[in-house]
Amino acid sequence: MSICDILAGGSLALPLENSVSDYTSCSDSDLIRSMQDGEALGIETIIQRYETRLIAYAARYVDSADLAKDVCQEVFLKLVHRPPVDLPGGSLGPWLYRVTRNLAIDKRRRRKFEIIVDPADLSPADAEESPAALASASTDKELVKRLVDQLPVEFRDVVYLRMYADLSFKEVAESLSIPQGTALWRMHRAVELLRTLWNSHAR
Amino acid sequence: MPVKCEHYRQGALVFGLRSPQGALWRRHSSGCPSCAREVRVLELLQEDAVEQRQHLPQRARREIVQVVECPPLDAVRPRRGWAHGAWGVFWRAAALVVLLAVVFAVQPFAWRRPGDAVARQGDGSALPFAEEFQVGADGGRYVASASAVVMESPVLSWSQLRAAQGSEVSAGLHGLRRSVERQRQSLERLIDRELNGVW
Repeated sequence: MSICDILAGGSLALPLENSVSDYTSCSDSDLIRSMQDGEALGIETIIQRYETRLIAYAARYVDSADLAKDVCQEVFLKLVHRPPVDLPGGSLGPWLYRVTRNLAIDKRRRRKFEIIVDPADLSPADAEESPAALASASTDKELVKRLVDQLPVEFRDVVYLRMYADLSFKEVAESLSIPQGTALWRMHRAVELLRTLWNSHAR
Repeated sequence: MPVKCEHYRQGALVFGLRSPQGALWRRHSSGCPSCAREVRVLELLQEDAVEQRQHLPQRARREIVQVVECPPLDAVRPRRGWAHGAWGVFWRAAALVVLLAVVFAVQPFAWRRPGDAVARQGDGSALPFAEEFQVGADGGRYVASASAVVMESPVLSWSQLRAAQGSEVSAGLHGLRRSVERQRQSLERLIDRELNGVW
């Protein structure tokens, strides 16, 4: 009997010497249940599963890695205090990304001062590429990020969720409460718009 | 944009740039400048996303785990038994009964007509305008407020008006004008008295 089976059965008789790796195959709802029973490994597994993508996603809204980490911590604390009652599709992802988005937008709104992010912190140098190629890549990347910011908000949200949060279109649709086809269409349109914007910028 | 390009793009978007469908799109993009630009856009976004993926600081992680292991006191709720549930039902029912009792007790006062509150004195001389003022705590001598004066009903009702002939209508209008004038004069007198402080 695996740990997930024990959790699914609602039993608290867990062996003491568990590790996060034992929980990795458990579903999100099982992990939430174990977290509610005071099991630290439940929340640790959830953190391990989602933290990096949540931080990358939040960073696009708050424009700062440190603030994104703060947002991520708040999201997990919110999960601990008030976990979602039901998980659509059994995945915690849509709930987490929805909360992250709301908190990040709220934090950006409340921010009273501008935080200047050093680009060197965000893009560590790659020794294999030449400085000229690096500069060009960095410029292109910054340009594309700026172009994404120019997209209509409904397209931008889909791009962030698909590219930064690495969600499937099904999860994107659940996070934004839109049909899956609409999410896919918005992504198509966003890519087309980005190409057009880049072309017009290059001229 | 040709349908073929959209088809390749769709596969890459759904399954990812690193998937076989993504590889197909890349191969196609070598001969299609539009697709090449789109592939480049997505690659740059993906690179940026990978760079932004960082871990939570250990301190933050510890704080979260600590909350799970030792929830704050206000989050700990005692187990509630059947007595607590019964009490929840009981106090609601009791509150409803008290509310209904209060409503029935207050009802006769609430339904009293405005005319009932007008002061009625035997001779009427002690209280001038007693019919137009509600009596206050001191018998209306010093504190008085305007009562709900019942306005005179129209001289002619709608059915009467339909049945009436021309002369009757003009007579009715004449009577109505006089009545309005009378009320206006009465109000002016009241205002004069109030302004002069004659009570």
